[in-house]
Amino acid sequence: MDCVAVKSLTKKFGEVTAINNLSFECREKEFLYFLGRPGAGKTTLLRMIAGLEKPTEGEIYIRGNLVNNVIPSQRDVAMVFQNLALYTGWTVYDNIASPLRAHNVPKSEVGGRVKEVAQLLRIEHLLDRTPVTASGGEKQRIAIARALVRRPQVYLMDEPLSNLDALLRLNMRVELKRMQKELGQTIIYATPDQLEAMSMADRIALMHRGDMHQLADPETVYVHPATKTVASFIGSPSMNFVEGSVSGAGGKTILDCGAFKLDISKFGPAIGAMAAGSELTLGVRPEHLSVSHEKIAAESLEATVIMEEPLGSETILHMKIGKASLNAIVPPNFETIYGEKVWTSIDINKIHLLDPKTEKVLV
Amino acid sequence: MNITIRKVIKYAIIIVAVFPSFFPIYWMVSTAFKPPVEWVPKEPILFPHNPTVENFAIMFDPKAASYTSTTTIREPINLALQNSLILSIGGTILALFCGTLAAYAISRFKAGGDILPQMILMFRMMPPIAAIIPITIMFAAFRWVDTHIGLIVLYRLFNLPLVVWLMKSFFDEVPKEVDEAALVDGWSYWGTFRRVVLPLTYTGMAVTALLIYTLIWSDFLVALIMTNVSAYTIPVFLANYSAAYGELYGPLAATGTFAIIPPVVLGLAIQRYLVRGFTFGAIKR
Amino acid sequence: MVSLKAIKGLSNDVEKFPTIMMMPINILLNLIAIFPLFILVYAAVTNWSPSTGVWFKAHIIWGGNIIRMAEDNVLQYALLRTVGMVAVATTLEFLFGLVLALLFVEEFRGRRILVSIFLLPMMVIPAISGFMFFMMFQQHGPVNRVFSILTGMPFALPWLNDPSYALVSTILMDVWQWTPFMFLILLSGLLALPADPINAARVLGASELTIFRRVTMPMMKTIITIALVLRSIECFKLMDGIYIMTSGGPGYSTQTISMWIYEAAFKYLDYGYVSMIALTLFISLGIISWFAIKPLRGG
Repeated sequence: MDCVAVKSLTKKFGEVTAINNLSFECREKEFLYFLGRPGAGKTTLLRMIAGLEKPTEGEIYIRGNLVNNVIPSQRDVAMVFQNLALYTGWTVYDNIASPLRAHNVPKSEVGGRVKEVAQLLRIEHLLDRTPVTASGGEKQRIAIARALVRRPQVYLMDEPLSNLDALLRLNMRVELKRMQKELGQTIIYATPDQLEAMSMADRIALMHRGDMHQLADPETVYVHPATKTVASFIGSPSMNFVEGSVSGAGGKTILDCGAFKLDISKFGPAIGAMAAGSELTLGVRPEHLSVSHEKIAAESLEATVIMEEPLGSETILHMKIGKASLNAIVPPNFETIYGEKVWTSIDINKIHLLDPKTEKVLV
Repeated sequence: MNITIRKVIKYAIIIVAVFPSFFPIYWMVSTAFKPPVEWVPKEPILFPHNPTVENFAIMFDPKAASYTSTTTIREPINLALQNSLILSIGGTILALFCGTLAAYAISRFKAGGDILPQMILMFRMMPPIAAIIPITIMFAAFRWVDTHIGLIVLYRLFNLPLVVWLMKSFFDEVPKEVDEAALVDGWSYWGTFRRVVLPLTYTGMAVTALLIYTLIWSDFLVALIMTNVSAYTIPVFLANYSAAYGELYGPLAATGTFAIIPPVVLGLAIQRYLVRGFTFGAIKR
Repeated sequence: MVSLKAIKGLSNDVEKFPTIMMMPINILLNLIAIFPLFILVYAAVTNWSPSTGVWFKAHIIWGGNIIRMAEDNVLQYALLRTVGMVAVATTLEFLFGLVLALLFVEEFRGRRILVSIFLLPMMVIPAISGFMFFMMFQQHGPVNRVFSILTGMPFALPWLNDPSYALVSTILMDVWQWTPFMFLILLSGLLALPADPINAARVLGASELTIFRRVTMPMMKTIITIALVLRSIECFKLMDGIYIMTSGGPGYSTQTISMWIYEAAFKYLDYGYVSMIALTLFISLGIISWFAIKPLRGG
């Protein structure tokens, strides 16, 4: 059975549509990520599942039960907020015990469960203090402990790591993933960080302005993005896009990008019949462009170097072919200077073709 | 202008200004300690030559006067003191109770929309004198005049706007996410209020309580009109005997000194929050 | 009565909960505030006086009271007097408060204590300060004495016995009592100002005076408005101290509008007339405060 299911969910705030007719399911024991830019609707969606917002239209099911009119305390979900929302007046112990006390769990049991969870997250030493004295990472773990102690059906996490420094964030990521696998929890997690999503998710739901553009596992989202938004969001550095138009010449389908042309005949069936002159956008990831100083292959294109971004383990090379800008990944020892002419070839098996109007990826 | 000269001028102005601020209070307090002969001397005495606490004693027991006079204050302050205490404490508790509940509802749920807070504000603006007459009629009908109940209810009414506004500003400082976390944890709305949010505002509540207490204690007009022989408060007591025995500076000064101790002490304690109260939470220092 | 379970159920309902929270205040307001308002309106159109009968048998004279208001000299003088007193007092309080506030903006040794000392007058019960000044303004009292010392001449001003001097005395008392109020609000306003514009002006080389006039003051506009409005509205309540100090005398020279109403209502028992006046006051103050408070509510 699906843990959480959503049907035709819409949420409007006055004139603004925050969530637009969404339907999806989250499976048991799944680590599901809502990925998207700020304002995409991730938080709104989480809040609706938790019961803090009422949907304008649509239904929400938890473990098969319709919960639209059920108040948060009875939905058996736990939520970790972006700003943690710890109870500053209470001790850490009280914070963690809060959900148990709210549900009238017998006192004898409370102590044991709190200590158990505190041990798991290695915060037992904080139990008698107030959260104000804890560090960022510790506060995070307190918030997670509070969610954990109840063993709810599903955990909702709204960018819980965003307030931590980069190193701590990496460590906590690993911890969360490990915990999730060990305890078999179902977690729905919201983040704008695509690296985080890619490394931790079982499935990613990519959201943009209230619409869900794709729901799939990380590999699929990377290799077969559904729309331009997904394609440009996933992967760092992000995908290159070049506009072009279709023309036929000698029985082959050619994509004319202005400064260069590509033979895309092998994708004929996928793109369907296209009239000459119709527009198509080329998408290619920087990692799928190879660059060298000499023209190695016949199809190599000549490009001018604009800029280099050495990252240590690799270098991003910014190039221009005519009017089109392209970024490529090159090995760190690739030496070049501004204005130099280099040769780049596109791996034709890894390109994407997009319809400029619908922004859907056709290949 | 030279920095040091500015500093000197600054200090000079301040010192000059301190004097008139402090002097009236000092005068009354020192008079309270003066024996009768020093009350109206040919030349005002700054510091009592023969300080005595007799004036204070007379407050509580008129017969303690060492001087015989046909015009000593005949009644002790005890009843007035008792009334002032009862009314101040009772009024504060009730106003705090009603006001805090309402403030939470307004802060979190926008209860009453936009109109209600505005109306509550307008009540604050109203001079009590305008409302007093119909209230007098009503109270006469209920037989509430000159009773503790009636006055407590009235004080509660007049101070509610302040309580609501102050507490609302304190509630607004607690982020809404705390409420939401509590709800998701499993607390009911009331539980969230009582167990989670309210404790975070205890300081604010204390401040509000002290302020309201001071206001009720200091009130004169309402007490003057609505009390008679059984529920009169300290300010009324003072006014009555000032009118009747105006020359008895000593005991009256003692009464005055006694009367202003709570407001001054409490006022100093909460001075940080006074601005917020006066400007309806618009400014927070 | 209502069962515990029902209350618990309501406690969980997001719609009903705020209603319950507001219940105590609603009951109170409806009972003690709205109902008397109706009585007030009713009484305002009668010429009722408790000495002539019961209230529901009073004679309705509709606008008669309004006409009377327009022709009542004593009332009008009291009103004018009050407005005049408040105008003068408020201006003085504002100026003194501003000067003091400006002096206190920067940290200096003993600032905390001095602020507390300057706030003292405000915390004294107004009624008591009436008594204090009563003592002080006696002909043979300290005020005259101090002036004598300072000027070397015998000073025996009849502060409380002469109509004009009495008026001055009341103004002085009000200034003494409420300058701290202005001081506090203006100081808080000044402290809350963002430092950047002022620092930028300083770096650009403007003189302190110019900075004050062109940068500081405009930013303070809201606060100043609030302070002035608050103080002015309080003026209609001006009574406590004056009542004790001068009882409105000598004659009527220090009678404020509040005192006038008090006298008319409780000495002359002119309930109908007074109700109309109270109603007028209520409406006008309501309108003024509505407009004055709008900026506060807006942001």
